[in-house]
Amino acid sequence: MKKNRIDFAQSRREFLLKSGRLVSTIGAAATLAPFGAVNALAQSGDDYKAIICIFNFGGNDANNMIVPMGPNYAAYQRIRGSLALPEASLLSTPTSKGEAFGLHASLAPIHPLYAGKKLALIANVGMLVKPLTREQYRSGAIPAPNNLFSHSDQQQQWQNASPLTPATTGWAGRVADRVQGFNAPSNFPPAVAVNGNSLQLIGQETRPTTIGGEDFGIAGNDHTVISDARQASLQEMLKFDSGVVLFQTANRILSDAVAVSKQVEDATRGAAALTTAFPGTGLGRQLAQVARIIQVRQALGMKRQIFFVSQGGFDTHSAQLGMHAGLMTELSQAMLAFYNATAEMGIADKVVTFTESEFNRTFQPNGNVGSDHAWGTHTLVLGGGVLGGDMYGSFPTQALQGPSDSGDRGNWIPTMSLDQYGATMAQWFGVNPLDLGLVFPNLANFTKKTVGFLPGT
Amino acid sequence: MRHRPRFFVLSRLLPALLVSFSIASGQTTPVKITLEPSPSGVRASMKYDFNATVANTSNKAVKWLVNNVEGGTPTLGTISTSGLYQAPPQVYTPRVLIQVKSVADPTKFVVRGISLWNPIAKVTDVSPDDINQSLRTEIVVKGSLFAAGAKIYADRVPLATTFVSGTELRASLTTALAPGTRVKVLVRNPDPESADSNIKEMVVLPPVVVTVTPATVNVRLSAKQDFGARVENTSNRVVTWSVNGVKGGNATIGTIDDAGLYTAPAVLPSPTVQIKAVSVHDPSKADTTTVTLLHAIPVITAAPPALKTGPNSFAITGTGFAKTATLQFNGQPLSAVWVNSTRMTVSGSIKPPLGGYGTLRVLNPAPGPANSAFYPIPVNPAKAVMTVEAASRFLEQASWGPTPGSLNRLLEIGREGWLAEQFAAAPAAYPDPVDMGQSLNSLQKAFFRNALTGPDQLRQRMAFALGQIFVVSGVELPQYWQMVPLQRVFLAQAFGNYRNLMQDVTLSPTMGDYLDMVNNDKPNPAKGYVPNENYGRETLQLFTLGLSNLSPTGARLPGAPYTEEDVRQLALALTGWTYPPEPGFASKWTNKRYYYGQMVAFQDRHDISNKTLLGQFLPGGRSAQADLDQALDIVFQHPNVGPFVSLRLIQKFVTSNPSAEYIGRVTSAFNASPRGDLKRVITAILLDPEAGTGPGAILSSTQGHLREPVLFATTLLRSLDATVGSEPGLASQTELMGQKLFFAPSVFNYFSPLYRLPSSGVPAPEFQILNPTTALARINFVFSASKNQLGGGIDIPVEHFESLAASPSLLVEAVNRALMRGTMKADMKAEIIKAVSVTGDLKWRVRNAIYLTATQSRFQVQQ
Repeated sequence: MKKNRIDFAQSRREFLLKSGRLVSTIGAAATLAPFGAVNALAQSGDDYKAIICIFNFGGNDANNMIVPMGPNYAAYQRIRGSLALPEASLLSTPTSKGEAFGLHASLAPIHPLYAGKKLALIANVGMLVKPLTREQYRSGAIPAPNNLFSHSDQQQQWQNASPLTPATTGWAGRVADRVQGFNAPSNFPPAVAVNGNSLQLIGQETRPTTIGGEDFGIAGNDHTVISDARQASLQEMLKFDSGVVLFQTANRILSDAVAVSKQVEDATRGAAALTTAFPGTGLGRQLAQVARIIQVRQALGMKRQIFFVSQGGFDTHSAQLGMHAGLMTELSQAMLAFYNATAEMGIADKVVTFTESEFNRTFQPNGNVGSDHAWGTHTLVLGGGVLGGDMYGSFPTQALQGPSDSGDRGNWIPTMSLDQYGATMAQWFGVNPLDLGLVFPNLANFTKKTVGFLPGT
Repeated sequence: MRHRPRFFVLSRLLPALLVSFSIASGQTTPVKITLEPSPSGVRASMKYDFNATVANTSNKAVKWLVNNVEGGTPTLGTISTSGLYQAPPQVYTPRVLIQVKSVADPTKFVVRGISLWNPIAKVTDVSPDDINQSLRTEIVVKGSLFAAGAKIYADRVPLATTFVSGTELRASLTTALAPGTRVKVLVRNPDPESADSNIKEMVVLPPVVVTVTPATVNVRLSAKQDFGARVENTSNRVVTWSVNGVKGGNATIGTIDDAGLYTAPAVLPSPTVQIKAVSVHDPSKADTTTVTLLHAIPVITAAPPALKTGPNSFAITGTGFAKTATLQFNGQPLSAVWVNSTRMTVSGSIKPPLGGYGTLRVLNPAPGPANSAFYPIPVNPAKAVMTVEAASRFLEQASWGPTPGSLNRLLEIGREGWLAEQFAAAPAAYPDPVDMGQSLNSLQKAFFRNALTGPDQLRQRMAFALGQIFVVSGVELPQYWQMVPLQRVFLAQAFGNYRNLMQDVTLSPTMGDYLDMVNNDKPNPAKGYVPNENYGRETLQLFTLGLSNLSPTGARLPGAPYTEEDVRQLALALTGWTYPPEPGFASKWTNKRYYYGQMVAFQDRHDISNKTLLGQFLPGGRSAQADLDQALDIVFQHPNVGPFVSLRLIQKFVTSNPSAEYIGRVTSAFNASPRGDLKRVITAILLDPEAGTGPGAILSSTQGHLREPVLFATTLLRSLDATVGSEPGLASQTELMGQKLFFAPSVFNYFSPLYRLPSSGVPAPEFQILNPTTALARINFVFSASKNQLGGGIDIPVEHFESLAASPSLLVEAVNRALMRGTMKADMKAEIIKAVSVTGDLKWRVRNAIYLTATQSRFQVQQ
């Protein structure tokens, strides 16, 4: 991996010599991408971009996150029954086509950003191998993703974009592989998870890291003779090769930890705190940590960064309404604070925050005032550069056993693939459109490769 | 007085002179002789020049005589032909006659009688130069012309003087004069014609003072102590030393040499002795110091090369053993018999020590209690039916980590014996909740207390493993009373039957609440809802069958064990259950939350349609209980259950990546009649050759598993023989490591049993929660442990390692035996010894040794 990086830096220098252009470092990074090809849209002046995934673990009930209003509300109310939100409580988000939708009332903190055209709504996105109708699904004529409705499988598929075969790399990691040249010569990991490991960030060439809390670091490393000897021996022994994969893997992870903690310690030393306050929730703390790392991007030498944060508790099989309202509150407060922090840093238009969740929930409730595992879902995309104030994709027909339902409880068949959703961000981020298929193997099955919620897509 | 003798001499001499003159004048003009001058006396040794005049003759020649002896004699004095008289050196006779006789007329002569006087003495030296006040001091006066009877005068006072010679006098002087006074010393020769010599001075000094240093001192037996004696006011600083009044002392009380070097005796005579220094110059002046004798610091020089656990008797040799000395091994007293100060015999029972090494120590009591240095001795098991390495590995797999005690027990009774003990051990208890508001914090503490100290190690490990299959989480059930009933089920069913466990879990209000089987109503077309599928789905996917068909060896086979329709059918079969009624309340649909006992059925809320589950028919119209029983039977009989459960349990106890054969063997144990016997399953897992702890061990390089944080913490602490208070606060530590005990993020547990390493595809579930952040948390936990600063009443006996840490290699070997089964590789050992050796601070040596061992992947991963 290191070798690849060095080779790439080498080729970049060669390129500069051959081209004979005098360019600043920033300009040079912007003009170059892996293998000499780059998305023209990435070539702007102060070149920095970050994408942040907020994964809603458990299966977000997106049916109650974005709700049809006006003429379509009645069908919603009738089928949703005990789970139906009052129309009057919804926060209006009319689309450019003039359709009436509303956000869950607990999304009030980010609702103004819709009118401000920073927030986009994505309708009925999910795992697909190919475009699929109800009839095709039910007949099995066209393959559907494996183990729909299983949390673990769908969480993996959303992250590795591989609905039929296991894959140990994630789509964001594969994006990182293709934009790592922007970050040369920094060897700081391009992808950072804040709350535990994320399959989504694992690349074939690049390795993500996790940077937990503010106390991320090595205890007792006080640079005395004793602690220096301890740390030197620790690191020396991490190099011992046992030939045993479990030992090697543990050593590699700890080696990464030691290296990254040192880089973070050096980069954040003396950095002033952001004035933007974050909520003290789990997601708020994670996004605050992301903001802190972005803040020192120049010290870390980073031009492209991918982050992964998460929020759990969405598996609302019972007593859903109150729980879901709490989750929406946590989500929107944290998203707003993070957006404000990017504005404070002057890079709001360079940072995109988006949500994922392994599946939507059944449109039809169960007997416990809850809902069960379903499929196609809705997501949120927020950022200064987002072409917001509109809905992208097509909203499912709100009918049990209707054309959008894969079964009989309102399990929507996605009309937008995760591949298209992710490719839109990947292209904006700097991945050559010709390489998108390497990141999303099933993208070729869809006519539209990107869906337009970011400039140039 | 002094002149009177002179007149006397003259009066006696005068008549003779007149007579001789008259005789001469009767002839012709007679020769006339005159003698000038006429001294009354001459001092001994002085010269006197006489002058004779001869008249009336041309022959002027004369003869000089002294007492009629021409020229005199040495004792009379001599006189030359020219009349120069040389008085004798001392007065032999008080008076001599000097006669001068004419040669021309020998009748003509003149006689002068002269007295011989003592000389005036001359003092050239008085010693000493100084004299102490009040001290009788011998004075030696040197000089010349001291006459017999001469007296030394000190400040005009005559002293009893000893005449040694004409050049030396001696006397004793005691002066009362004030210090600083100068004493005038002279010599007065006696009469005749007594006279004083010149004066020499002596200075008066204060009396002599003797001060012994150190003033008081403790001296250990057989030790040496140098004393100094300061002697003031004399140049003679010599003292004589004594011990308890015995000059030079003796072996019983100690000896002291002329230079003041004291050597204490080997055996305590009395608590103190007196050391005295006496001034030689003034023996009346002395100083005394008290020596407090202390026991020696004992030193062990030889002991047996190794001991064994249990009874031992042996001898030790060394030095400085007090008669009343006691002996400890690893801080525990052994019975010791004192033979002499260099030998003791010892007997007693020895517990298996931490790290395989114990330390002997001799403790001398008061006075001056002192301990010997730690004397390390390896301790071998008295009985070992298997190797330490295999036994350690077995206990890492089957318990919360080997302690020195549990390791010794296993070595003694072997794996089968140990399993039998474990199956019979009383289950650990979780206390009843204090109130409904009590949080899971209390349960976490009880869990860790049980794990670290409980005798039913295997049962607890099994309960923990089952709890990671049948997952419930404090994320949704944050109260103690919600969680504890199901945890008790896991403990109770740990060695029971999987089918019974499925029953108990399915009817557990805890699980019912978590996965929504509680209050799950039959379909209601009017209200447009259907049964909650949550429990039905997860019990198939996560508790029994999984998503793929499996062979008995765990291989994935084509097809899925169940369909979406099976999920729905199972959900229907499990409708109609609510919480058990709280005591004192009538049962109704729905009961309020209550977690004790099992859920109760309401038939009118149960779906009574015909159902088909996994291809088997459940006739309609039956009770909720009958449907539940049959549905669980159908699921339990599915061929996936054996390999499904086997893989998960093997992973929890032994290895993430068992071979197909291993899974197959455990599946056979599961499938044997009666199907699902967990006691048989765990026995098969732990005694399998692939577990690597018995005959025919098969150990592949991909064997083992990363220790999940809870197990990592307990294994570290038990391997270090930590003691635990009632509230071990380890949960916050394992949370930082990615495992918040009882708070799995979801029903998918802390990590997936199907997780594979991204880089190699090797199955490694626990690695799903290992990342740079949690990796740092793990090594930071080790750091806190190495400093014994984990808090929560956890105490690691780091002092045991400190007792070995004088030798870095011995320390590292003990840590190796405690944490690495004694299999630490040479390169690792050398590296750790290097890091340990940078400091002489034993605490930090131990910290670095523990830290560098337990942070190694070879400890993080159990293989």
